[in-house]
Amino acid sequence: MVPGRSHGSDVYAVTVTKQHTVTASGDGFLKFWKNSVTEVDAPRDNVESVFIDKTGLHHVDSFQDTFQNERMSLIATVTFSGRIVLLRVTQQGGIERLDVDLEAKSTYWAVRFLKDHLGKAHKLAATTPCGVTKIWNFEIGDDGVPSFTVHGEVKSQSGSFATCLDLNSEQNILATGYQNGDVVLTQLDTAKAVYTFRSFGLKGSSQSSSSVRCVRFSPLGKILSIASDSGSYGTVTLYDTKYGENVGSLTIPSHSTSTSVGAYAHENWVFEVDFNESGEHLATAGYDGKVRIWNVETREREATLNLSPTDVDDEDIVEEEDGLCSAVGVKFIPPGVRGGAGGDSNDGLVVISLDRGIRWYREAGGI
Amino acid sequence: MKSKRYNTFVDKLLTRQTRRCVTFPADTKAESNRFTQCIRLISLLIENLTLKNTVTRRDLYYQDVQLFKSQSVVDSLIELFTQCMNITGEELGAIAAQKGLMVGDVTLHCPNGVLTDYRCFGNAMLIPRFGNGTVITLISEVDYILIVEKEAVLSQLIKSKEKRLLICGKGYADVLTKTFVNLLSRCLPDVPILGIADFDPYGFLILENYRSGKGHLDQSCPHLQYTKASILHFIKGSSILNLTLRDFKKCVKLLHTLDLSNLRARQEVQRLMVLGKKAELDVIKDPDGELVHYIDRMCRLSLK
Repeated sequence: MVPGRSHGSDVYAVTVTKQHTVTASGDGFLKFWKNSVTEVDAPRDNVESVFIDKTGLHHVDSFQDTFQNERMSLIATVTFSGRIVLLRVTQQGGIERLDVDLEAKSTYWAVRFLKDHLGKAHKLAATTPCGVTKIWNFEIGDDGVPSFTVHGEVKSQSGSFATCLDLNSEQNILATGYQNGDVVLTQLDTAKAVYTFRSFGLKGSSQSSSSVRCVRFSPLGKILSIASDSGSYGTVTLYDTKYGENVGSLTIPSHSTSTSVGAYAHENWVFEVDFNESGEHLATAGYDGKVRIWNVETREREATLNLSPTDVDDEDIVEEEDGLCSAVGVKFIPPGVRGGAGGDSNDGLVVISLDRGIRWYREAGGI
Repeated sequence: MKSKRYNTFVDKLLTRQTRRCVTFPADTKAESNRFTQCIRLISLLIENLTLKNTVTRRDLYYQDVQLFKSQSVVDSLIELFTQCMNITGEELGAIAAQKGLMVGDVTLHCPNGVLTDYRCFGNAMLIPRFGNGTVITLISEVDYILIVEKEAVLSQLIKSKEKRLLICGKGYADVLTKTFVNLLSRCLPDVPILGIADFDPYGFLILENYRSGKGHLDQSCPHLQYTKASILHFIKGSSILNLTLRDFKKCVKLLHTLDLSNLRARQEVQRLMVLGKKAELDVIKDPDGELVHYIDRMCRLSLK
């Protein structure tokens, strides 16, 4: 049961809450796919669409909390015109657009929430095309609506496009990735830069890409994984966040003599990486139409999922892209979320791809 | 009657484009400049008209480079004059230099009954001038009309065996080229019109200018289609470049102005932004004619 033509245009981002798998698309819609569906239900019949903006959407992230003993989630999405739009989802599944104005004058690109376990200073951070990362604190008010205050901002030294970011509450750190290949690690409280990791990608030619596409902290914040371009290949590098050291990269064995680059994780750019809840596994989504699951400890590849146009319901195949199923997003689904009550006791995955497909996977006897 | 015409002329001067008031004596330096430019251009035009000369806008600009500063100043003023007085540039004695190129064989039927054949014999030729009421027909059948951005791409595409009419505006198309495309679309409503340009915001802007005619109905071509060519096909190539902040801002602007129904263009502009990349249709790095095959294939795909 894979909905093929899930949106009216490319699907660019996905996030998972207890209730929904939420996708954001260039068609300007957010779609909330119910996670409570079972194998026999069609996802298409269990989806709610919310139109956000005519310029389209490219990022989405979620925040979950309990409010007055009821589960609630916040969804942040960014429009192509650079605005951050916030929505609230109640336990009953009611979706409501919030009227929050986060300095509308600025243009934002990537957005991430951070949950503070003490419940006092939750954070929202967003990057801008001119390289600045803005951080807000927020609190859920008595009416269940968050109120935001500016916490600070991290300026980039290079002024390069800030493509991605992640935050971690355990270590209280923020990482921002840039188009020029740099990743800057920042202390959240002081908004001061701690480390700058430079790209290992090919250098020396303007036509050789070294853009950072995704940064993600492990759940405990000890490891930072960075997905960046190396020419037309995709690399994933792991860094120790305490000492700022490179602790290895994820690579597939290459038998080809034609590639002089050597160590890469995917044969084409890696668009997103995601740790599972325990931090044991890392999933990587490649433009080469593959999703790989890696063991973080051994840095070995444990599984490869090949996306194929035939995965989707026949009439839904998007033919115009030459059968291209490039994965542009991947998220782990924690155990027990997908498949309704008594559902999966293992990790699951959701993958979005350029054929506009949304694929849910569950672990079958160990992935 | 005369004064009414004069009044609308002044009104338009006041409201159009700049919305700046042009008075004499002027309040600001910029305004006095504009006033001088206006008067100087009018005097040049009168001089030419009394001598019964027709000159190009380029020539007019060269009459006083220091004053006009750029060609676009002359162009916008002439456009203003023609609009206000509801006459053509030809009647005003100031025509655009021919810039656009075409490859293909067509016949122009002038309203006075004169037929002129234009045959290209495998070379690009300048798009001919034509008057109001002209009708165009094809000498040989074509499957589609293809608009390209760059002359270099055009000269490569000539070698292809595809049955098509090629148009090239060399970057932003001039009025004549756009009017010619409009004429083609009106006289040959069954022939699809495709467009291909660089995968950067300027490429899309250039094609959009053909589509919308910048608000001039007689220069627009609403059924111009984008081909199936995509930035995605260039990711592995060597002609891919980083999208700059300036490009990014242009892309945002484009997404605001692009028609919602124009799904292909919107999708491609979004992809530029998400990938953070742009690509040029670079023929220099294409010694084996791969690009030509690619464009041919994408055009045929788009017709299905």
